[in-house]
Amino acid sequence: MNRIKWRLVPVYVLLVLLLVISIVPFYLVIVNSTHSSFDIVTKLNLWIGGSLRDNYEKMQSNVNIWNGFKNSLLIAVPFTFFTGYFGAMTAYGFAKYRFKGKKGLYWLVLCSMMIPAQLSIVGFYQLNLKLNLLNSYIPFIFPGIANASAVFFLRGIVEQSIPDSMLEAARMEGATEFRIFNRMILPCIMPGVATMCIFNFVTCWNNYMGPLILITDNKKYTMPVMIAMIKGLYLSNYGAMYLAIAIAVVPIIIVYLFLSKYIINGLTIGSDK
Amino acid sequence: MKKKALALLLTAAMAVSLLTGCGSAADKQGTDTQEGTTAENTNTPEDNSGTTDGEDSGKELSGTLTIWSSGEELGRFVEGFNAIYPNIKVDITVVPNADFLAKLTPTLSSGQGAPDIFTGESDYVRYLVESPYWEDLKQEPYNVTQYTNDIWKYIVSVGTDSNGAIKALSWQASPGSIMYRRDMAQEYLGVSEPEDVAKLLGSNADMLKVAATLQENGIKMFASWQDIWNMSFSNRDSSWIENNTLMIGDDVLGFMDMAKEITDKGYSLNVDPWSPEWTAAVESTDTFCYVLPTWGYQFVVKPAADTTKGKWGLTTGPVPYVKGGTWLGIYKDSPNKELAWEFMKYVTCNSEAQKAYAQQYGEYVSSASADEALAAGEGEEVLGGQNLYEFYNSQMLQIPDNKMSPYDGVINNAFLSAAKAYTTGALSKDEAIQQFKDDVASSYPDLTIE
Repeated sequence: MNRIKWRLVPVYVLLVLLLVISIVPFYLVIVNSTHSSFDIVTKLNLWIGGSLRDNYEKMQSNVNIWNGFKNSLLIAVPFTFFTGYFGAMTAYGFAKYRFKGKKGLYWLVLCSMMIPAQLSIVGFYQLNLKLNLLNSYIPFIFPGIANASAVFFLRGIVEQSIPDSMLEAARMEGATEFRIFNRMILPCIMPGVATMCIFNFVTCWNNYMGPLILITDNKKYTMPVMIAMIKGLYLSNYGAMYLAIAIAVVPIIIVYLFLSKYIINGLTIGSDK
Repeated sequence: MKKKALALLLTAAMAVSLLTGCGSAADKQGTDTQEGTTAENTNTPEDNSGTTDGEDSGKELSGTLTIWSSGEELGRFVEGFNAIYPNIKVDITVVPNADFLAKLTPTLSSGQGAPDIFTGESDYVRYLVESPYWEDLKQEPYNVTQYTNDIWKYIVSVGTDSNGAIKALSWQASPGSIMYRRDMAQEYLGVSEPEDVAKLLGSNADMLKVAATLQENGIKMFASWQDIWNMSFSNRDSSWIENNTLMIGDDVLGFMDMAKEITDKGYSLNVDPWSPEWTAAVESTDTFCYVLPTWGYQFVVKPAADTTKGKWGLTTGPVPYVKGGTWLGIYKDSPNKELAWEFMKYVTCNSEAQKAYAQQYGEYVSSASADEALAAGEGEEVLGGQNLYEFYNSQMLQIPDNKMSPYDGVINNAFLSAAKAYTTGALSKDEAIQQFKDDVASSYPDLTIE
């Protein structure tokens, strides 16, 4: 009993250390959101200060952060859903079906991952201008259907964790191809899908350049754009910025907590029984 | 990397704007079903176009004015403006300065969702002035020349394009100063009044001599050597770009040597401007001065001074200078030009409005008569009773001609980062100059670089 405990001490020390390292930045964001800008730049603040109300008022006088919060959710939630569902579907297709031009198409998907986002932004603007989609959320949501990194990642998982025998068994039972995907494949690769969803939710939530350039109606701005707007040209409203960041972090934590359940569950589920 | 990407983006956007033209702007607005800014903009009543000028007609004008600004100061004018024009709703979007052009350029080239008024910060205002997006204010119905006599010449010259059209004006002017600590000057230099301190700082060599004296007493002369660039920038032999060629004169090279000497001898805190340590130096016991123009007092020294209230003073360095500022102009295809002009007139040409603004926020304004009236008023507590308007008025009369180029923001950043690499010893002087040239070349491939 004693012996086991002693052996675990270094492990726990290490784990606690990692925990502290991961939590400190979040803690500092929360603490700094209650301090004035001058305190933030001049001191290391470790405990809650008294400027929360000032910061909140300053933040709200610049932007309506709750509106931005709502806007960001309206984009990020459908985007994440599309990425997960259609990413898995495409990956399944590439992994398990044999068809003409499969290799070429797959390479095309991979190549699209290599184009830096900054390069395509002008073209993206022009495209949406012609489609009359400026000031709309569609340009940020629908591309989720064709997310190359999700396809790449999930294809590997489908190949590893879904044996062909499983599909054959299902087909023999008379299940349609669509039903096979929904009822068998998707649950089996849920851990992978959940991981991709977390990544893509965070990426989408933090997307700054796209909404900044495509959206000109200030009622439709998203969180990252609003946070950048709080920071003035000369004035540095750090307190208000920290507060906005603290608010912006909340959904990311919730999404992680919610989806990580699937990751842990998924690891223990066997598929080929 | 970011800068290069931005430059690429701008080049592409400019190219695209040439191809698309603006012929389809009208039907774009017609088909726009979003309840966005375009829809609001069409609310302008046309029948008001006959009434102009005068505060009596203020109530008759109504509509929504969309403004994109790189700073928040413009919003401070709205209350006073609405007192005269209660039916004009002013909708200001503060776009971060670093991304301002990235957002503005594609919008202007397409014309969809473009603001009625947009600002141009000194880093890129010359680029916008020479672009065809701002309305010429010399024309009817603006006739801006009837107001420009009261505006400091420098402000008007920056807003005037190469064909003589006045495209932009500003509510602020930003002549330079050295903001120094009176108590330290008294203790280590034996004098504390601005005129006496100015005599000790008559040339760059003198400044370094003072720095050495302070150094012996454990005081850093400068918060950051990069601040001195504000002064040197305004006094260069030529602007960065002449005849489409990047100019690197002896004065620029001399600045690098001075920066190197300051760093090697430890005359500065060795931090970048706007870093936390730099801001905190306002309240320090070991930093003597900032080389900053008007906005440095309003945004750095005044808000941070607590225990050092009354211990600050404004004085002059080797040369008078001017740096920074934000201009604004009216978008040429705005459907709300009349409202936009009323707002612009209120902000940039109304001496009374500027005076009230300056009194409340302590900012030095572009109306000469407002600055003169304020110079007769009380001094600043933080500055030990010194009147900043009186000081800056005298500077405004001596500042050198405008030496701005369209790409100052990017070129200045490239230059300061190369100079910094030289001061820290990461690069030799020749390597640093080469890096500077390479950076500029990759941002602006069309420039000739020798």
